[in-house]
Amino acid sequence: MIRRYSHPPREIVARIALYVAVLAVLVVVLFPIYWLVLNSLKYQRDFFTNPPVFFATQLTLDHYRGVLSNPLNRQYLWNTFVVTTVATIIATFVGTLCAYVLARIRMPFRLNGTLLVAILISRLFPPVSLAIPYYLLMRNFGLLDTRLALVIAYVGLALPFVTWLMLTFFQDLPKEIERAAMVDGCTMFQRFRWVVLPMSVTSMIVSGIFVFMGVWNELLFALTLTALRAKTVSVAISSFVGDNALDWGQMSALSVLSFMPILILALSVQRFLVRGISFGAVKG
Amino acid sequence: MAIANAFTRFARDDRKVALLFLLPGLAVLVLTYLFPLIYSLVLSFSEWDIRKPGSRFEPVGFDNYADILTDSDFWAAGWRSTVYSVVSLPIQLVLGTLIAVLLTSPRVNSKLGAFTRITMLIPLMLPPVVLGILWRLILNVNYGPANHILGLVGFGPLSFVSSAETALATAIFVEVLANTSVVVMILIGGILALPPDPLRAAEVDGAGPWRILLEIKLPQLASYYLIIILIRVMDLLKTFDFIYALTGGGPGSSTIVFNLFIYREGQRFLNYPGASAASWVFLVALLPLSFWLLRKAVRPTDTYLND
Amino acid sequence: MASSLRLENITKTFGSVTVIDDVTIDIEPGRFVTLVGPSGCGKSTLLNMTASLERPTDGRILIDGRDVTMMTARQRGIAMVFQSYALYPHLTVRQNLAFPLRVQKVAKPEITKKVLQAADLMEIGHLLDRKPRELSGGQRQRVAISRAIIRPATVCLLDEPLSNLDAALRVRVRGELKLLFSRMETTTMFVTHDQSEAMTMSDSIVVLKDGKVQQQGTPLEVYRNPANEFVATFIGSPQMNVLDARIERTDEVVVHAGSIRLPLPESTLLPSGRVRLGIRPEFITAAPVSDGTPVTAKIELVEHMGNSAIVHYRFADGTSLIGLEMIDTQIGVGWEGAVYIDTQRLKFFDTATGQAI
Repeated sequence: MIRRYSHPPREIVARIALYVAVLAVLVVVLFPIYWLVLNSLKYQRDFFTNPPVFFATQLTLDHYRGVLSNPLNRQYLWNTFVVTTVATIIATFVGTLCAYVLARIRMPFRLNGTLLVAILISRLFPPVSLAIPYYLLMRNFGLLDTRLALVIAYVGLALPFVTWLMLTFFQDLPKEIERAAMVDGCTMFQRFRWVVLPMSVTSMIVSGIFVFMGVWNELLFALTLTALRAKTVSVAISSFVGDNALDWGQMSALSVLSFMPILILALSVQRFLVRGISFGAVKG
Repeated sequence: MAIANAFTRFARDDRKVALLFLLPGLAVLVLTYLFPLIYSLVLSFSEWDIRKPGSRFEPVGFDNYADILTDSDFWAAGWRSTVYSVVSLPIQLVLGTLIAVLLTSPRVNSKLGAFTRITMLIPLMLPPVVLGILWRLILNVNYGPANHILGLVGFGPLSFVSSAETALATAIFVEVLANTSVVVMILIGGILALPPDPLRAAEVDGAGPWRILLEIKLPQLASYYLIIILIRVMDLLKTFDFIYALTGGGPGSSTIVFNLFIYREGQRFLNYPGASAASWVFLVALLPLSFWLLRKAVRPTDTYLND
Repeated sequence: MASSLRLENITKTFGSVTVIDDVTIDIEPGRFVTLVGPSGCGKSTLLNMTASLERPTDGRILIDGRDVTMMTARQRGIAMVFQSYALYPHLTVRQNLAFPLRVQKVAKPEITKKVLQAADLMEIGHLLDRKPRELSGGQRQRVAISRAIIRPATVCLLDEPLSNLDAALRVRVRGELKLLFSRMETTTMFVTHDQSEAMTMSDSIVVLKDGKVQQQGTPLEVYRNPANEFVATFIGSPQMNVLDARIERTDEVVVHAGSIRLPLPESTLLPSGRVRLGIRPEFITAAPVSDGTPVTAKIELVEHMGNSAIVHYRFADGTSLIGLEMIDTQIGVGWEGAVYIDTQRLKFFDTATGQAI
């Protein structure tokens, strides 16, 4: 029948409404990013105009040059990279080891349950209640404004998350494969090294990426524990607020520079990300 | 029983290695949680001034707590955090549900839906600091695009973050735009994981799309909503980074939310005992919620390899 | 080469629940023994304890007379095929087969040789460079078996290895496995819930229920002389008919079950009183047989199987019994007439205990 091929008017109106809604969502999400990138490429003269320049005809890389020619900014970027990478690797391995034992080996004195609760409750602590003792303790140990201090703080920050994610992974991993390895004569260490670890690579990478993003973006600890030498990009960007509040171009350029690595990383593994975001809501 | 004894001997090998596996984690836990928390707890019951060299912790009982709890700024900050959370959350839930349903609707081209979904990840990846900066630019009273666009449709100009009256509302507005994605992502995951047969059955039974949505789909997502609410409440109450970058707490003290208050009490006013006491009040207040979340989100292992 | 296995007074409790209750099983070297029982009967727990994957609460496990209760799988020299096959997903078939040898530090050339041998034996040579996820269910199963037989083992344990195969394949593999293991002469303990697998494959079967051994013997012994009502109904398909009956001794001995009345030989030692009467379906037939006693019944349903037919009879008092016709019968639903029951093959069980009388 002909009716099969043409939509009734109500249906057409409904569809148009839905597509307008999707478009609105896209605009709201993408416009800020566009604006940031545009600002990082605008000439200085295009900033303080009314109406604002929505589509600049002339663009410049001056702000990026300005940001990157400043050795301090290069240092901040390098600090962020080093601290984030080191903390991510350590947290991922330490957390994976913990999670494996908690998921698989019954320890005496109800250690499994106690430790699990201890680790996970740590994840829920407001970081601000740790920032102050961190500051004072690092000060006592002469670690203020060092990358080591940041690495320690970030490993602590990330460990509960990794343990949680890897624990759910191990719990969902069929035990029979490890049992087969036991029957094949593996000790616990051999089992972990040859059987479990190779199977966990993907999950470890996923949790590593999450940790990387979280640590890269972190502000509070960096703000508290660093002053100059170990300062990270987040702190540098936030300090535009006070000092150079009018240097919008460089502020935007540095923001874009700090956001790019994360964006590339995120989009390259986006199919895993949903799992991490909904983590706790849906297992596996 | 003799057997039980021998069993311990048997299992010991695995457990020795297992303990080795746990040691680094235990060390991190002690170093970065246990010790600092004890330190801050002791500090919260002491008198100490960082500016006086050689100053020691002098126990003062609950003095710091008494000071903090009678400080009107403390309560004001707590109130702001509460408003911030209580207003943001329902908006995010409703908006998030609408968008999730929209993006999974069979009437919307599935490729466009998937693309929009991925796009919605971007606000979550954005460093909170950048988020704050970004919206400062957009909401700038004189030169920002927001007021310009409002002007085109006959509104404004609004003062946004530059006036104490509108700053908190603006922060909430940005919070909603940025973090509704969390709700959307979790709900889409939930909607896509729904078993298809009941939905087909409802369709065969003659239910329309709205009825299916309201009576079949959403009720099945109840557990997702519970987790979303718990996670979001915790995160909203803990908000720091992005408000710090967006408003720095101002103008005046109009956007000093609770964590910003604690931070300023310590790092700006150097009142470390007071800040510790405040953070402990906050921690204890969050504790029931934390435990509840834990109970919901974690299932303990029931059988182990070495049983 | 082959070893003997003895499970001695094994008990396993989880909290207050007793899963295995004082079980003793003896397996002679080279025998293929099947543990069979409904799910939850404890057969897998017994297997896991033999594999050292679980620890008995009490009792001993002996291999070749040596107490191995506290030893690891490696020290026991056990090989095992898992229900899910438990192939290492990240390793190729070749690496999967080599794994147990590598763990035991066998020399490289020796490993290569043995892998090829085992692959040849199980006809999986062409699959060696694939990953498990690229294999079909049947192929995975062959890899799992190869991995178990690649090294000399004291005892080989098979945990429902056929349950994940489709029906046709299962019957074929059943035969192959039996052949393989009888050739290898390895002591084998096989666990299944499927009584037909137990019947067809084993030298000896152990019927378990609620953590207790119900009966132990060759398949035919168990089939012909079930120790109790549970074994009688569990072993054999279609199931044995069991019904409440009464034995009366007057001038002759008869067993009554509703409208069914069957004379028993004078020599019967059964006392009069209530019993449970068991009749295997193959001893109920609509075809006149010389040693059968005719009883009037009506056919309610016929399930044709081609080479045989399962016939549901309804008797005058409403009792229904299942009969098995070995040659597919022409008679159909609605037929009414004399059904012959072979009174020589009746089984009797105690009403209270279910034990065979």
